[in-house]
Amino acid sequence: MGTIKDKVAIIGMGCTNFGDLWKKGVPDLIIDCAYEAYEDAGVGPKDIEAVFVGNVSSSMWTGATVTEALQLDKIPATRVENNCATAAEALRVGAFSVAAGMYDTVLCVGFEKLKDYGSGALEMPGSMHPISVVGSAPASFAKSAVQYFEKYKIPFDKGKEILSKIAVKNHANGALHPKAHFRRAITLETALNAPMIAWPLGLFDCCPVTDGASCAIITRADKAKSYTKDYVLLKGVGLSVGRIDPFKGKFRSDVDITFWDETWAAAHQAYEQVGIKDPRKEIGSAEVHDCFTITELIIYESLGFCPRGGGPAEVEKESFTLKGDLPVNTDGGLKSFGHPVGASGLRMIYELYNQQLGRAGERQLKNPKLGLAHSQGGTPGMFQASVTIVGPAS
Amino acid sequence: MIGICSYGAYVPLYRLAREIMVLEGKGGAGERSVAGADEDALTMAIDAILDCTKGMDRGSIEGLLNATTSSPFAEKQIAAAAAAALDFKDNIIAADIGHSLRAGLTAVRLAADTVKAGSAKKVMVTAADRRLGTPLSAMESNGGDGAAALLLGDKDVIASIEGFYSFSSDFTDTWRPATDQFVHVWSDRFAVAEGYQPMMQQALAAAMKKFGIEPKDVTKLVYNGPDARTHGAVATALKFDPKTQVQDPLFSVLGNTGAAFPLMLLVAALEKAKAGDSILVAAYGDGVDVMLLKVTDDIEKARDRHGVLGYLKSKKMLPSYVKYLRLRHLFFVESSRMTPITPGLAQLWRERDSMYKLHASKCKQCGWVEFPIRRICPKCYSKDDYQQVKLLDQKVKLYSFSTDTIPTIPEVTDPPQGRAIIDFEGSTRMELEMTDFGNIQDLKVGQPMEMTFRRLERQGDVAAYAWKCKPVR
Repeated sequence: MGTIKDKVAIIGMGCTNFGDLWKKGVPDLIIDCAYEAYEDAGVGPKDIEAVFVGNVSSSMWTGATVTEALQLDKIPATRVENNCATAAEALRVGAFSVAAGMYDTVLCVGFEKLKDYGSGALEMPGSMHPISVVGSAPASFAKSAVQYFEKYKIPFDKGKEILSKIAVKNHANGALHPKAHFRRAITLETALNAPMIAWPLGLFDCCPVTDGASCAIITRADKAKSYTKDYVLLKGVGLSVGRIDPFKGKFRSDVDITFWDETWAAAHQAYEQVGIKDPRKEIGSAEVHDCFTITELIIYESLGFCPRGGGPAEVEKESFTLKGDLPVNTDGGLKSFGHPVGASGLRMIYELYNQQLGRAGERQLKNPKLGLAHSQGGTPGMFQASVTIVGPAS
Repeated sequence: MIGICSYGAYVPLYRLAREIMVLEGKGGAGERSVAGADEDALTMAIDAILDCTKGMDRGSIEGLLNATTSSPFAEKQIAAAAAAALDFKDNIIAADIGHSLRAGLTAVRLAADTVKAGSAKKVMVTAADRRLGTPLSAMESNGGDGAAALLLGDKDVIASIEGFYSFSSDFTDTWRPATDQFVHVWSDRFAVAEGYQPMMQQALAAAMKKFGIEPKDVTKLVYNGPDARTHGAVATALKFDPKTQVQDPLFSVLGNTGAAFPLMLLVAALEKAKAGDSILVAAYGDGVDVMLLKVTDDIEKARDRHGVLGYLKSKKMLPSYVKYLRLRHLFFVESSRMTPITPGLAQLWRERDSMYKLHASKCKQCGWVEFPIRRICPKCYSKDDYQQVKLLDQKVKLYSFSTDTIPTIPEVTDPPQGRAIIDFEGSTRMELEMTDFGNIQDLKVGQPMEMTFRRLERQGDVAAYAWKCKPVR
């Protein structure tokens, strides 16, 4: 495998407010984030040579949704889809097109408009199979929580408390971000006493369903300075796609649902490109796919931030809060910032980018070191996991 | 010797106390059985067959007659669906016998004649009903849900069939129009005085005359009836001793299970029967069928069934009448707004060996078992080199579980829906729906589970069923 390290620069980014955006249509979301990125990078529509479009379920399916919204005329536009890792995928393939020397200035966009259709709990009814049997996303991940508690002999009440602390942390961070879906800190009691959604996951263990869009303008690293002095470099990209389909009841007896194998594989692809030996020490902050609190808990272990089964102790030590040694989800994560499926991956990069450039306001870290973004689509048993690492230009 | 080779039954988990089946004041005494939201005449028949065929090779069965008045389909054979789900061989006689409360015993007579004629050596008969009266009616209160299964054959019978007597009468007392889901009843004073009472008495008297027996020769008289009082009057009039000679009609613990009722009562009688007993069975509905049985020594070989009495002991009381309405799909819960998706029947058919028959693939090269059937072995990458293995009778343990509290589709009227991952002992793992699980906090990872074939609550009018798991009863 080759490496993307220091070959591609992000020279501008944009992100809409995330939330219940009743007044905004898909073109509005694309326009709002793209023009923020144009201004940031100092480019205009005529400078864009190619577009990579990430969307799961709210477009006319091709990249034309973006060329139409932005009136980009007769340039290459490619739509990609990789479930919750869709936006990360748009950036990944866009970066490859730049690294290949094909284009100089590329726009990578991710967007999702879920609220128009009243989607509740990211349910996945029989769209995959005539008798799709998995149920909602919360119920799928909840089974990992039950098995995790069993495996590590964590009493139910203690397990609920650990999970709730993750929600409390992410809400506290999201409250500090002006573009987050939910900008209110919550107490541990609020999280613990919330209505049950999918046993044992309560309301605050689940991320919301959100509208939003985010984008990046990228160029070759050696050309970045000709656009702007403020840019970050891609350091590594990893992608790992599983091979089981729980939607048909498929579930291999050798699959451990208390660990995210695909995330481990994607992380190690990226770590190898960057030369990371100890992610806990070398990563400055991480934006991870906290679709549910149990997901984030297992992500700590699957990214190698702590040993297997070590997540709960780190939560108790507050290692991953803004004041911890490795802050996770400094912008509130999916939990608080919201989860427009096709946009989340680029929203994560947006936060890392702002941290790298010292633009993160109240959330600003003193030493952001390398930033890691992690997306994970699918359900336990089969994921599409993506890890992207960015870092400073020098 | 032609007779019954095995018996089984099914009573759903739920019971409703009749005292809460009222708007005000106090309702009736006792309780009725209530099918779960995902149960119907097809699924209950399958559960009864599973009970009846415990430890047996279902591949040797050559016929299946399903009797019911509450088939989930006006057109579409449920016998074929049951045969597919239970992995019967393809070249069997399969038929649904419906539209009458005595259909179960009629089916037994047809099956016995089929065996006698040499058309089939073993024929399975089921009778199943999900009995639906209009809300708070006497029909709803007296009714019950359940199923019975009898395996008929000419070898190793536990009870030999000594004779049949049948007559048909176009007498309408209860009926259900083709367009209505509720059973209706005419004035019971007319229905009992001119229908049930005289017909049942005359048929039993004529049958005993034909068989050459008198009441004193009968160990147990087994027959259906609309309610306890009306039922009891028949035996008294025919001079049977109601205390010793009459099978308890189970009104206070089960309810009138419609077309399933006579055969369920027969199964209850067989559960207590001894070698040499004579059992006289009568089923009323658009006429009367009567059958005389003689119990053999082999009855002792069929003692490990749940049966009616076993299933009656395993129950969960419904906490309210509203909960009952939810199980009946008569009370609706607001569901999240979803785009309707109708199951693709072609795909379901294509994958029937996995989805209905519950077959897994076992790699011929490395032995890896995978469900559903997979063409490429994930371990050794052998392509199209597997044999199909049956999972249905393997022991099952709970690997993990959850619930969906918010209904994911409008058809779900009784959330939460159960979700589970299960391990088949020594073979493979499967993710599926979980039903009849009671309190989620009482479930334990690793506890034994069993498989049950249930209706999927799905958008649209497509026939979608699948295997689910439930805690062992």
